[in-house]
Amino acid sequence: MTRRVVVTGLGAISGLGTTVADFWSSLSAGRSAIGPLADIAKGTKIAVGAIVPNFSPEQFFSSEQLPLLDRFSQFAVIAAREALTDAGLTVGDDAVTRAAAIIGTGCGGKQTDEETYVRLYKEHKDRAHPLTIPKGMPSAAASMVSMHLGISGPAFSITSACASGAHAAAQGRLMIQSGLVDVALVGGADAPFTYGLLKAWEALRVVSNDTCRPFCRDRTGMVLGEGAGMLVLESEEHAIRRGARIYAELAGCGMSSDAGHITRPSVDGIARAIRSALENADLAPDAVDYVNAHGTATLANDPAETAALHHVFGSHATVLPVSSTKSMHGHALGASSALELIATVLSVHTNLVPPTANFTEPDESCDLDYVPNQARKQQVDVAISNSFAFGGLNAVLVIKSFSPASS
Amino acid sequence: MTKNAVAVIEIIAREAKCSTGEITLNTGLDVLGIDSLKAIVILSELEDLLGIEIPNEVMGSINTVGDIVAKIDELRKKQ
Repeated sequence: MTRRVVVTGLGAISGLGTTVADFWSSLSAGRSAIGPLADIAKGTKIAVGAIVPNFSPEQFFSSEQLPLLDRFSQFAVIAAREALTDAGLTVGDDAVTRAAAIIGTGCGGKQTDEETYVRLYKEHKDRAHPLTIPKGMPSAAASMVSMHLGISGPAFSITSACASGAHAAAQGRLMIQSGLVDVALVGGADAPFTYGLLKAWEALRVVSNDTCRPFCRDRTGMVLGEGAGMLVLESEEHAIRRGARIYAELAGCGMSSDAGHITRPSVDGIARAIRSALENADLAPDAVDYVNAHGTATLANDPAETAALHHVFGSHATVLPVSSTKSMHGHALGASSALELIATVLSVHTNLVPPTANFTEPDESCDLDYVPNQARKQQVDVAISNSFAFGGLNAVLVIKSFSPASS
Repeated sequence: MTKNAVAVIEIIAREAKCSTGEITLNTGLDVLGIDSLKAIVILSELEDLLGIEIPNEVMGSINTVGDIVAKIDELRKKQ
């Protein structure tokens, strides 16, 4: 029989604050972190974003630790620490030492890379900073989490753009199911607010200067965010044996590729990922109580995702709440899928559906119940979290309310 | 044909890998195999060539070569 995998710890840092409590409190209140950008976006046309508020790395790291930590690694370690503590685990515990750490990222150490390029190309300095590589490499966050938390099991980064955190969680689940590890710290981290990267997003013409209005007629694109989301996954037996608080079961995952366009999503690719997640969880479509959507508010995603949900859920789609929490924490790229998985876990754990904030009126091709602006109290036993990345890399995770295997 | 139209058609022909003679103002972008991503690349090249800024809102209303030319005409008049 396949081992069941449960969620025992959560950690989040985002535009909504530096803790999961802050994160969930804002999601529950329909409060968006999206606001005007100041100096960070100077010289770009990117006017709004979801930045971690009042963030001071010195509050979290010593002066000896900071030189090796790019902003994205800082976020990863902060969220990882919170998740570990939340799981009732401590650095040095056997469960932690033997755990896996799988950290998704879309852009890695961009802050470090760009500081180096400014130094070389703009200032014509002759040398890069010697710590550029260990600090900026995309796997730096995985290394830092391993080092700061004393994790000595398998540790690596996964990158699949917007689906990175979700793929990391899927990988962690597979590793636990296979018996390779009992515990896996999984999630994603990204810090994309650097000049060069913002100019690159500007050039792609998919970023809004208004706000993030998923599924709305007047949506004008996505809004960037930053941060990290981390989850502690465990085998059910391991969690029960040590008396852990179990939030929910990570009951299934579905992964597919569109094999189509590098930016435009495919309805078929999305639908296949959702169907295969439900099959993996051994659940019928009408068992799903809530969909945490990919919902980027781009012109392309929202109708495609809506159409795919119709294909998969049929008549059940008309009564299925679907919300995009990107409307509140922004699109934090590789971190977003992890933050959304946390929102999905908490939705099941608390029986509360977070809303799609900033909602005006639905686009004519978007006709589902998007839970506009106000969270909704309702029974949520099964929920799915959708992530559909550029290049057609899709991951869907199924969260189910936990009941012990013996029942 | 206006200078703007000539510039637009040359860039589109290059992206669509066809000759300029195959393109008229009425030619649909989809017929030329130009999807939204290729359209963004074309707009970026026009911005560089003509020293103008083309706002994102244009993306929802350009279906033919003539639509792009009309937009460029409008923006260059404002310069």
